[in-house]
Amino acid sequence: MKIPPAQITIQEWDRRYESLKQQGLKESFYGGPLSRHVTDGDTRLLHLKLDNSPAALGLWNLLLSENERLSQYRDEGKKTIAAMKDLGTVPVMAYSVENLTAFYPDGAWWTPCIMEQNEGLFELASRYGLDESYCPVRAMVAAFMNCEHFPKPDLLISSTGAICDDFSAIAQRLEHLGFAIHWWEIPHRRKPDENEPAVELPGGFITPVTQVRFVRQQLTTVREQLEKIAEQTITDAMLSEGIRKANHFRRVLDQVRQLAYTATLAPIGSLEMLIAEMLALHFCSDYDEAVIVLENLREEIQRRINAAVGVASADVARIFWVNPVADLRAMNLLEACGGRVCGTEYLFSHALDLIAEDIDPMEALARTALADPMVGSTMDRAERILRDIRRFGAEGVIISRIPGASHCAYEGKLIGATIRSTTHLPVIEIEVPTLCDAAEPSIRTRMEALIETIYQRRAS
Amino acid sequence: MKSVYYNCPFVPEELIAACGCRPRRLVPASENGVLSQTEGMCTFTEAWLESLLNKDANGEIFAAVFATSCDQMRRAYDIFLSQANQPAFLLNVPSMETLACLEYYQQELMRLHDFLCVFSGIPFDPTLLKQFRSTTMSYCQTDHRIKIAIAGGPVSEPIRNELRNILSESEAAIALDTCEDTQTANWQANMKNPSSRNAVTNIAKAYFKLPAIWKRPNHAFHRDLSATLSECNIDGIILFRHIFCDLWHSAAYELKACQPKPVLEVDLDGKSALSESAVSRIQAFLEMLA
Repeated sequence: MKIPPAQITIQEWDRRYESLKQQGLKESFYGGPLSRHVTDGDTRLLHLKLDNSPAALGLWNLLLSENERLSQYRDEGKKTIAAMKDLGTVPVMAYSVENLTAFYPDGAWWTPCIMEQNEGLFELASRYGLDESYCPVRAMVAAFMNCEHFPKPDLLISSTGAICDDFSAIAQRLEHLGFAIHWWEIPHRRKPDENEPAVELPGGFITPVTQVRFVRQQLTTVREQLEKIAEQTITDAMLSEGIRKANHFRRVLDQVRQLAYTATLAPIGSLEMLIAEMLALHFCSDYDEAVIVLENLREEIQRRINAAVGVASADVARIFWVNPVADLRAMNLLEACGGRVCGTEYLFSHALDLIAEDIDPMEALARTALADPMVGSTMDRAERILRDIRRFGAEGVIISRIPGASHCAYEGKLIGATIRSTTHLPVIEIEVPTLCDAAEPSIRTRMEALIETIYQRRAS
Repeated sequence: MKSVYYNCPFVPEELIAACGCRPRRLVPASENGVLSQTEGMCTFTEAWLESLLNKDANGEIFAAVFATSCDQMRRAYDIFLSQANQPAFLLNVPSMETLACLEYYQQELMRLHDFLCVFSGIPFDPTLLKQFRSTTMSYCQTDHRIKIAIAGGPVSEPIRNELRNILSESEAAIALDTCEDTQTANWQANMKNPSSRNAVTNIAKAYFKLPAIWKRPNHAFHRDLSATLSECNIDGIILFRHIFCDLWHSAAYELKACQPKPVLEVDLDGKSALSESAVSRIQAFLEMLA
């Protein structure tokens, strides 16, 4: 019997899980009931509404089992690469090698949310001089120091240069505390001067050839470090295959986004879509499993669209969401207010774009790295957001500030002004703290006001 | 002569002058501070931006050179472009001290040279380079009982003067001033081959070596500072940081860990005077050192 799509609690998921098992549910090696993660300390799950599909079960289990799997892969002989800040390029290189696994320790920024700050990472970060004036990525330093969340990586690689000040300070603190880091420079992406040879990057930005050449040289130093750790040469053919695999994932994800964000009825929740997009960064430390999970999600979304069913009514407000949220619950909150996410720019749109396969792989990777929306001007990012607003048909925009993040103070003004003047869509800015419960009344009020504005515009 | 406003030490003032412009290192200070304090925006960056926009609104003709030495300035450049009518240049200053980054910085300075010459309408004049006498960090010899080093983000002259007065009341003085706004590089003009490219190469090599808290890694900054602190026999360090400046805020922890002298972190809020609590804290710091 087909169960209608719904967003359910973790307790309801326990009953659903038993039912699925009785029906012969097949899971990956990291599968199991979601409530076991609550027992392990991920208590935020108790306050979330999760999609009730087996595909969503696989997605959540992939995400929440990552730290254990990293330890397991290590025990099996894989070397672990901690890529930091570039969000999408270095892991493509690492996954070109069979015995390497890459992950972003930056992702520890969500640990205080998922564990509702019972794990003590922020307090520990403060003892290392990273107080609440820094963004939640400061939890990463604490996670490195207490070794309770991911195994100590074999190699740390971090981009520097055109990055946010928070991360720059946080990464330097890590090195100061004794963790050797291989740094590589990403310059501020600029437009070409008059008559300067230029090239188009994935996603459409144009940049001088000299910048691509420079970044290519920088990524060559990364390649050399990966070769040392892997104890083998990384050939161009291996990198090309790594790019092909990354592109396969990105194509599937693009299909998922297109289906989910343009469907008449929201086929799946905004929270699951956020997690799905995050997989693009480093495949949640397991490329093969990430592809399986994403393809299952695509099939489920397609099935629901074909059956004209979804998790919300057709009249909910279509919202474009800018920046990832520190508290996952904010995505449920949007839906509770009568909205759904139809389009996103979570700081890493370059990890969603296809990497060129018809040019030298290092050239292709350099172009991808430079396509990062955060390394160029805010206006570039605003242009990208505008394109995607049109693509997905959003009716309003939420710009979500990350507490303590240096770039957020500026971007909201410029991006919001650009969107308003170009599209006349309503735009709000909200700040979502790591646990948004105390701020919920004001966040809810702002969201409801945005959604009411959208409804009024529809009526007029 | 047209003015070019800048603030970053990695923007060479001699290059600005040799391209026919008047270099104006701007460290704004107003009685009321910034008019509209934006949550999360560094008070120095906001004050700097506000000063430039006011000059633009008042009809002054100038160019502004921003630098990528911090993310806040990188973003401020975007705001300036969107609101001002004056030309602006964003100088990409690499954060790593590798040969590839030095070459990149040289290319950026050549681009700055081109921008400045177009702005001034005057070709590069190497004879103007001779007018600059450069020093590294500013030294202020003092026989005072308590020797203080100051470090941190740009500090306005009114605040420096106020600090000097506070220190003198406790028989203390600034023996070492390493704040960002005092930094300049030491280099020699090669007048045998005075082409602009040759000059830019020389300037780039000198400026590239300037210590900076935001370089990655930043060991050289702490190493050099520790050595200088020992040479000057410093008793204590006052670290000035503008509110919401993550980089200098982060430096306090490292300073305390890297060298043995007491460190006092003092917040600046964009105003031309220290806050009452800052004054009290400095006085208490001096009492502790006495």
